[in-house]
Amino acid sequence: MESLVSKFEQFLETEDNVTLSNNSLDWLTNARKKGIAHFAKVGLPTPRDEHWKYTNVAPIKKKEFSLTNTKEHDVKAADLDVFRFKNLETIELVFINGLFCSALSSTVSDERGIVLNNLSSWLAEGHQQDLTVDAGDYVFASLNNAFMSDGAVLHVADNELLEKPVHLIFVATDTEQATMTYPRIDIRLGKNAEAKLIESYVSLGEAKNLTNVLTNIIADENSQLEHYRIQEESDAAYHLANIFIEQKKDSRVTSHSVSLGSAIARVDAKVNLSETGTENILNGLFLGKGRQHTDHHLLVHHLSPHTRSEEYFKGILDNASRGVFNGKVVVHKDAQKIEAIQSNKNLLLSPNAEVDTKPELEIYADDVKCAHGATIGRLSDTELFYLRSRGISEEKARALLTFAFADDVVNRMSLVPVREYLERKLIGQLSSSDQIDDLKDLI
Amino acid sequence: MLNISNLHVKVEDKEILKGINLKVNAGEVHAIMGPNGSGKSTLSHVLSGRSGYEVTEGTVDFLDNNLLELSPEERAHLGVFLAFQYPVEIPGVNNAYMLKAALNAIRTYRGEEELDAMDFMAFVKDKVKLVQLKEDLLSRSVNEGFSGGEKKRNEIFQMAVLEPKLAILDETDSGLDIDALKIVADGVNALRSPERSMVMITHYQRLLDYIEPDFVHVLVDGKIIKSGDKKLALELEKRGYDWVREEAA
Repeated sequence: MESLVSKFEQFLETEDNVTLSNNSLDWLTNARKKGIAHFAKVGLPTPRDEHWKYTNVAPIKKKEFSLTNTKEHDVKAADLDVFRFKNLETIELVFINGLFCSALSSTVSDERGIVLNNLSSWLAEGHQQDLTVDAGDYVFASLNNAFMSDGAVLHVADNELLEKPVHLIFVATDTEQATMTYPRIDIRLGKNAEAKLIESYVSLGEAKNLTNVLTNIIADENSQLEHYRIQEESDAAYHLANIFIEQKKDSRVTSHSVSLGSAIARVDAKVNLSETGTENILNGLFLGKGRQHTDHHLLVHHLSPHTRSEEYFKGILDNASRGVFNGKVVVHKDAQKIEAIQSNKNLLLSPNAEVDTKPELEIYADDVKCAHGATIGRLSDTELFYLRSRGISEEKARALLTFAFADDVVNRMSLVPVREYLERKLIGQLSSSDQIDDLKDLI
Repeated sequence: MLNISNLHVKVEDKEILKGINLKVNAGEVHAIMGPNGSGKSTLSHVLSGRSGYEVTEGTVDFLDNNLLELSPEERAHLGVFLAFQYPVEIPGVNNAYMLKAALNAIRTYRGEEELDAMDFMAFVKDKVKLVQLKEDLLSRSVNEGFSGGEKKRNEIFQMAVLEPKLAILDETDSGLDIDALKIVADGVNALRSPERSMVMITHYQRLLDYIEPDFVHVLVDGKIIKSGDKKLALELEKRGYDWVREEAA
């Protein structure tokens, strides 16, 4: 990763699908240059950096990842069945090692003003719209600006509703040389518009890739978005994500983040509740096993009165894994009558697992309602004993209680097929195979 | 069925039970009474296999098994059931599924076929009526948000479903008003059978008005100092525990 700056010049010269053909759009070239300049100045974060105190990206720094992706792969539609949701019809866009796979995807462009396309095709159609994202201090967002490659565009016009949920599947395969991809997802909902979008990050085989994705969401007046991200990349992968959300008057955005995979996974969500009446819910679950490291950093700005935010995250850490949660809510001056709720509960399943949690509040208004709390605990001995005294084996009792702890987050999702998908995943992760059938009765 | 012999138990280096001897035959109902801190709850916990108790001396034989060597679930499989003094709330774990998992674990041990969801619901339907438990409580999380009376009724309901050979009722009357107590007692009485033994641990004689024991034992300071029939309970109610203590001294 240290050679990224030198790679950039070459990247800028190349015209292919990865570089979005580097079409001569000023906003894109500027974004790229500004992004690499920021990175050249600050470099990769180190634990000396306050926001990276508990997450050391040194393993990423040492590794070399290739930007040049080959279009060749042997992924078939059926290979992705395990990542689809039963009984849910979605509009699916598939990306394999960063490249859009049109054969496995469908797009939407209708007279109602709903556009769903992959970014590179959308740009090739000649759209001039400026999709610049201000990365601020987020250095991986700057890198995404610099190396922005294919991803998805979902634009829903005023008063329109996209009934079917969109499912973006980013697939990494076990390539000879580890690849890095910089997908960009751009979601804009017009006034009173509604949509649902699910991002899945998956691996076929022991992929050793790096994903650095940026999702930019702009929700206009009274619009509603339900957003999901399910990250289940291989344990050898690295996953970095930025979610930027800008909410206008009376809009409601719910974003669920489930982090199951990767050696190191870091998700940064930044939310601006810019106008009154907005509501934002960030709901999340992270599971760690082995030596996995998973980190969520949330930053919610209440910029206007009568805004509401909720952060509800749970972590389950086993073996020698480590979890990090930092939820910060800033209530700006004059943002009166706001409500902010933060909760992070963690379950440690092993004496070597660790979690660092920090809900933070910064309040510059005086008429606000804020609640925050964080807990770290182990499975309750009394609950375990109660179940065992009824005849349930210790192993199954543990799996039951752990599942119940996690399911609370899953139950806050409105798409039932997504819930069922995740519940099956959880059961698979939490119990040995002979218990799975029994536990399936639970859902 | 159950034979407790010279049982000594320590909790964090403090001796709580100091040589308990108790024999319970099939079909018998024994009441163990005693003042606070006498070791009543310790006895029920040790019998059901809760951790945190160190047995320093003595044996507990249950149907020719060394009970103290077994895990709580193994004891449950053999037919030991503890009705908790404070039933545990388990958010997120569905009452019916917990019980179905428990019943099937026990049935598997007995060499019987597991029940599927349909058969299970049919099986529990009558048992629910036994303690007048509202059926919607079945689909709720275990004991979560149940009233005190509902929790105790749920314990007896579980007992009815799991059909134990030895039921230990730990302060089952505590926190119940008289109507709830009657319902619980009716449930317990309906479950009395020549094959099923019960050990009732209680503070008050009141419960014994509704569930008549065959034997009453007085547990004071970690020892059973007097045994008798139900008349003993009435006498304890009238005269307290001091006279028994003096008599034993």
